[in-house]
Amino acid sequence: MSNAHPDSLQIEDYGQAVELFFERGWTDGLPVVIPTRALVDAMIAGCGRDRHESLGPVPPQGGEATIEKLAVNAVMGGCRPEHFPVVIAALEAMLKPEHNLNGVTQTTHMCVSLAIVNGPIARELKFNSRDGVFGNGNRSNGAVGRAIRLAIWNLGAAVPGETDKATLSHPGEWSFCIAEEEDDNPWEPLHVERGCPPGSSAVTAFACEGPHSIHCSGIPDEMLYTLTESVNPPGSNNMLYGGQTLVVLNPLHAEEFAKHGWAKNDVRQYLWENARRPLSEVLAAIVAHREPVRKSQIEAGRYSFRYDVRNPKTLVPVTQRPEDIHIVVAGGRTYFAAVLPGWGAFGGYAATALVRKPGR
Amino acid sequence: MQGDHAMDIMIPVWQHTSAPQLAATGMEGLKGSTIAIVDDGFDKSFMSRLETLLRDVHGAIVETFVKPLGSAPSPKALLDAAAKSRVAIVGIGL
Repeated sequence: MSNAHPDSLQIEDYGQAVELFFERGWTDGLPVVIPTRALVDAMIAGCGRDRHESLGPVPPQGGEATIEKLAVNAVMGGCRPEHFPVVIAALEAMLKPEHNLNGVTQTTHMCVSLAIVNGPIARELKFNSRDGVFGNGNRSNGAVGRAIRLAIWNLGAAVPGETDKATLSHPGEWSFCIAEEEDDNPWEPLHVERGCPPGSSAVTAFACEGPHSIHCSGIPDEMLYTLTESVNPPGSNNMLYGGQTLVVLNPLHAEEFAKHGWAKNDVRQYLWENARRPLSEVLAAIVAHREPVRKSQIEAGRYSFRYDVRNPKTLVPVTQRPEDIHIVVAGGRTYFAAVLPGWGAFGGYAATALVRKPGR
Repeated sequence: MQGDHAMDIMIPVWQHTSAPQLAATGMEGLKGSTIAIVDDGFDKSFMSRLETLLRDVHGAIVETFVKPLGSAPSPKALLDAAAKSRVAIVGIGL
């Protein structure tokens, strides 16, 4: 092994290289594809961007997310060059201030930044948006998700127990990427709803817990009952601190709602108006709503709840605003939906970035 | 796989080149010193108590800077303002 160039190493044996990545802490516990210069150069050439361009420092340690360093991590994650623009867009979204990746990577909460892929690129690269969407079995979901996590690992250096203080975390720290189902979906896709042009491709980052299953079937009233009762458990950060949450409905749910005249926004509004708990229950669960902590938070400009926090009968909504409930359509056509609670009012908010394909 | 030629393998981490900042030295006491407290806003009662102790018991001149968002890095302007003090308290280890 030799180190003639500061950004590379010369190694003859592939097995030795795999072990070296573990020894140096350059992988998060799983073996990786070894990023040879040829593979990395092909990755960069495929994206049409300058290898020295930086998307900015990756928190918490602040390693620069240059196109070259992202390409190295994309190769390690198993990406092909055509995946790379999606990885770049995901990092661009995660580095936006509203996402607060610094807090997301270091909080004691278990949230992890989920990447949601929308637009034609999701179909071109055969991302899974249907059965088992959060699970295994698909290279695009797996490799793009893994590349993102490795980039955060290697450039941000959020190490569990040290700079990453997650109490439990969840398996999305290995790879956490889905696509929204847009063909079998009567509603506007997430990225268009968030201001991207129709026909564009984009990645939306949202920091959340893993998917919690909701058995949800029947006519809209029946589905709304189970959804309403499931999105606001008393121990969720959303119920205690507001912030944003994500509800994933499957295509059959969306079809049933649409058939009965429900737009996505109607479902969102219904959930916001009805998924509430009395302040007395919230007070019983969390110190943040009690004096003096609540007072100090209000003074610090946070938790500016628009309801009477001194009246125990006040019904507290799961998020501060209806638009903080994100709804995505994905999964198989069965009875199950999911809620992925967010981090609360500390950040991890949804942020979207367009996928820039070469030459555009 | 064992090849005849060495593989050129790219390093995935960012190699920091800046030198670490050294802590302030040469303080002989707190009396009369300006101390900045960079407060994340998570525990106002604790920070108020700390400020009172530094000012009333140790005679320091304390200025508190509250971060706009406790879980995100401080804005540069806030850090620059805090850096004008003789000492700054930017975190508390438990």
